[in-house]
Amino acid sequence: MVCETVKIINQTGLHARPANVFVKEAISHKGCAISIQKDGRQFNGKSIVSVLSACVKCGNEIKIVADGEGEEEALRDMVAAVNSGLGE
Amino acid sequence: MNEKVNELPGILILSHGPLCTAMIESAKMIVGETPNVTALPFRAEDDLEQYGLRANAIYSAMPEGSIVLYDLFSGTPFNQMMARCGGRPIDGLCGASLPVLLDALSMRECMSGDALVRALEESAHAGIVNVRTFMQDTLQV
Repeated sequence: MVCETVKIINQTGLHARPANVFVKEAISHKGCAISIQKDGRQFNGKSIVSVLSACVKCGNEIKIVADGEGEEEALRDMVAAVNSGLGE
Repeated sequence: MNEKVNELPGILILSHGPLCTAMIESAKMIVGETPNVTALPFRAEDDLEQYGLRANAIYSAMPEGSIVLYDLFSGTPFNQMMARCGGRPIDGLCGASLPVLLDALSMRECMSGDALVRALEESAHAGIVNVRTFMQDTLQV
């Protein structure tokens, strides 16, 4: 299991469309569970409903956790996606 | 249509009136194109039997592992699907909503059939939020 903390740069936080980009990226890593942790709670990174439930605002920090096959690559891709603004 | 799209489990949405069609339009605003997703609205003038037969025919033509989302348990679209399915197992969920559809659209890329429906049960619950409770717990209002 590997993890990294990242800061959300999207002006309006993780709303539906960037959350969908996040989930799409997570789902592309099929053998690896992806989750996010925020304020002591854990959310399924492969569910847009779960990701939205995290209520992530601009400037918030989230911990991305990758666990399973190709976890290093998965984490690297997830962090890159967040840092690139998730399509926005 | 490419091979990957053909293998993607289909999603059939059945509803009273145009809710199913509108749900797909709303989902497209968030996720873009939605291949292998079909809406079949039940209209007041529709013949019950023909509606059920058509719904079953659409589902039968979908890839293995496809699912059906119904707007309302025990409503006419659900009842007609059940009445005309000939007793074969159909993976589906009553209580179709935008949160459920959004998760179905993404999760079907890594699961299908009963496993997908079970995951969507969680999505359905997670998508319902008591706003007063949320404000009290999160915003300290």
